[in-house]
Amino acid sequence: MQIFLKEVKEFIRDPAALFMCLIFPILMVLILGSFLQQLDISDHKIEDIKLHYTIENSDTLNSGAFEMFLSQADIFEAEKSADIESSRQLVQTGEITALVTLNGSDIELYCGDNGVSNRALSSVFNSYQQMSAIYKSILQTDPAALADIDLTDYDSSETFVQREGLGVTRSMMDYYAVTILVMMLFFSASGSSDAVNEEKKRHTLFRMLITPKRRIHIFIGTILGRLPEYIGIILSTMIFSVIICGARYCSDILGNLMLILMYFLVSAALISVGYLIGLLINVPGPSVFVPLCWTMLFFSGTFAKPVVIEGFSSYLPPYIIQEASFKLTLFNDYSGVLSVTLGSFVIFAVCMSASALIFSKKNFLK
Amino acid sequence: MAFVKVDNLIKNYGSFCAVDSLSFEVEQGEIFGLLGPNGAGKSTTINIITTLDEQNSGTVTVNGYDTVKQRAEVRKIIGTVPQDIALYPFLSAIENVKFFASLYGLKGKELEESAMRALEFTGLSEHAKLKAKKMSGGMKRRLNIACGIAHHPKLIVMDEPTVGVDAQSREHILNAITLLRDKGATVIYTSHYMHEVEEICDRMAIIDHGRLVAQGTEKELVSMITDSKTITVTTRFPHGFDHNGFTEQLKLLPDVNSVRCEDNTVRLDVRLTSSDFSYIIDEIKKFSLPLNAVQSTVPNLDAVFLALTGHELR
Repeated sequence: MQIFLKEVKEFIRDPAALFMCLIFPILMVLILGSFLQQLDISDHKIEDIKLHYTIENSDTLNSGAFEMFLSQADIFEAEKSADIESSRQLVQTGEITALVTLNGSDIELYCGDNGVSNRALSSVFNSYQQMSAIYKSILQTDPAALADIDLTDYDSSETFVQREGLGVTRSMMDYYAVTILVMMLFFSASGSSDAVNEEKKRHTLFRMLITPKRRIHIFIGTILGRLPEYIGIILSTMIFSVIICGARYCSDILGNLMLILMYFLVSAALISVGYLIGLLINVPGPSVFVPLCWTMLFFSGTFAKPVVIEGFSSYLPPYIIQEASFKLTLFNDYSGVLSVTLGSFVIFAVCMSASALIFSKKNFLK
Repeated sequence: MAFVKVDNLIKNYGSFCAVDSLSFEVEQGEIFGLLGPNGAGKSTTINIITTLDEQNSGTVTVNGYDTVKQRAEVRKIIGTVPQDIALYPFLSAIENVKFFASLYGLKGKELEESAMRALEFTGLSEHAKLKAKKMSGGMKRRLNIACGIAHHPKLIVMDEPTVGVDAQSREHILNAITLLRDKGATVIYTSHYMHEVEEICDRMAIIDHGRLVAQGTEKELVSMITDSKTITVTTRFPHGFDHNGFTEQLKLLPDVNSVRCEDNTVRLDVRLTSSDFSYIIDEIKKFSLPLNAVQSTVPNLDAVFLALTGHELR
């Protein structure tokens, strides 16, 4: 207990440790959060796109569907072209965005200089073509099936989210809040790999070892004394990312508590692994632990999603923890979190036992 | 029975023999000095006595407890002041002392009082709430001592506790060690500062290359290499003075082994058994020589070390 309290006091009074564990994650969330919030604000409004359309060589079904689509789509202000050439000139002068031609079942676009609107139009009409093809296919094979489809129930981002049980609007911040937290836990664990070395450098380890206190008690006190700083990291990151940056984790208290429990046990596992590494090697623990963490985080998509490598990244601990977090926060699926929590506990127990054994026997003078 | 008994101690690090068949005894209530140059084996011996390390062969007992077989019993009665400052920088002086004392089982009021007493003893009670990292080097050294004595150990092992401290702090530390002895504690004190050992140690052992060179009181050690002291008289010889006649006359005096005259200085080698040298001064006065200065010099531990090991301490 004395050793535990001493560790906590030292942590609270060490400005560098406090900065790394409490302020740094908050800064990361703030900086990345405001950056990502800016990303969520679009530069261009793509609604109210004015376009002219013509229909050539199309049957009644195709042309009817096409005209219905144009009239119902909110972002268009579509008008049938009276003269193709004059419509093209209007496109060139920028008075309308595009001239759309339905030729059979193909769609041709004659666009102006507005790249954003052009991409939006291209995307919308591509989707339309694919949907049309599907409907036609159903019509040819099982026309009765079409009668069951409620055409008014089209997918919007809102209905999709509600159907998946999310209940909230999601943003990139939700993704980064989790990855920043996982990153901080892994980086902070490097400190535990240097715990023994640090005590040796300060010569306090030797002073403790020659007291009547049993080595196992010294070991447990030292390792448990590291946990409060991880609770600090978890809570400060989660609370700040929610309050300041509007990140969202789980929609209910149970889910969030489960998430915190998982992060806590992940921290405990990381501390025990770091401690074990520190005991096994004769060089400063962080020199091994930090590059290892960086590599794992890098290939787990923590810094950038495109870095994920199929068949490899999914086995890396940061990836597994992130995926478990997303499963719970986005889809209310507890399976990943439960597995990680249990796995972390097993790793913690195994590494603690091994470290305790080594700590009890090791000659630290060597 | 000796309070600490080191018997035929051997410690090897690979092929290097750090301690080679070392034996000595420390009596209860004395300050025992372990003297030797860096790398002589002092710290290794200390590490074995304090149970931090184990010997390859030989035995060490503290108050009758074997340091290997009865480690727990030994640890209860030992307090250590390591050579390096072993403190927690972000804890205050009182917190550092209380933390280490608590590891010896002290708690509550007893812990509080013992910690305060240790700080008072080392002159740090006014700085009890000052963080260790904000202390001067001398204050840290004193706090280092306070952490080693707060639990009232019967044996205090101090490994070069005055390294790098200012003269004032050194004096304070040496006084504190003497006071600990006066209160009944047994102290093992290692240093390569001869004058410190001469000043505070009741008995001492000289170690070199892991081996015991000599042990005893300062007087006993000095008598191992010489039975004489030097009396130096500074005077002014008149022109045409008969140096030979003067020298021969002094040589005839009792207990005088030899006489040398150099410039205006007379050096007499006199047997240690003598304590009154006034007859020598009287004899010099008979030659009508002025006495500008008279100095009596006894060989110190530096000379002993040099004579016994063939090289200087540092």
